[in-house]
Amino acid sequence: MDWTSNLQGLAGGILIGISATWLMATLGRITGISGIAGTLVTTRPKGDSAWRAAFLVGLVTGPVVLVLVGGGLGNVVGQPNEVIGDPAGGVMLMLIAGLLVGVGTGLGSGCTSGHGVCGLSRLSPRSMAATVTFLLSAMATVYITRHVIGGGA
Amino acid sequence: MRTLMAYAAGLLFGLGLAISGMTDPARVLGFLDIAGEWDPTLAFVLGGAVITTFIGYRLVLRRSSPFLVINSTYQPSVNSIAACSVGRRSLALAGGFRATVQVLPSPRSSD
Repeated sequence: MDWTSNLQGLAGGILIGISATWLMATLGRITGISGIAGTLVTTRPKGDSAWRAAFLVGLVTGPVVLVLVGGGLGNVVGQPNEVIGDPAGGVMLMLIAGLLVGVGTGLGSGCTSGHGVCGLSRLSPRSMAATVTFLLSAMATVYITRHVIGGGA
Repeated sequence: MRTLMAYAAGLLFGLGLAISGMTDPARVLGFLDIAGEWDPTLAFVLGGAVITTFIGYRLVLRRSSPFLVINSTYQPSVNSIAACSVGRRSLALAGGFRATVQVLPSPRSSD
């Protein structure tokens, strides 16, 4: 068990929780990234878009700031000064996967942040069902791609 | 003002993701790969986030309205599980890449 990464995970998770609480306290919104981004791109509601764009800019600046500050805070496995890792299966596969995530979050009304963080915190049965479903199907997909097709690679 | 608050929320979220290592696909995949060398980091991230948000929401939602009210305050209904039939509409982050699957309706779900 790698306790350093676990504790960093816990610290990061608490920051994410503070972020979700902050957005609810100030704007009364659920911190669902797929919803925030999706609505901005598809419907662009008048008077309800600026905060979405600002949130997304902030989301990107967080990791960028860490890269600029340095100090070994970045924690891509085995690359101490990197923060954002390479796509696991190449850029093309990532584009296709990104589209699929978009379709899935649209149909499922939320993603890891909306359902997994905010929904679970609100004890929403719908979010519990969604979170269990996407975690289990993600695990199944990894199992199949790595151990059935990929031969344990 | 709203924009500034939303930016701060995004910044915190992004910092959280980066510090926790969730910007590294290898870490996420390490959690999902239960048959490989399992990496529990994602569980700590999700656990920390949910516990913090659980407490935070309880403090915040005591107020009748947010500090900076927008015209259409939106909170999804807690009990809309049946209406949305999650069994059929679910997302999955997965893969050697990320993939989404649509789970088939279970025989028992009737809506």
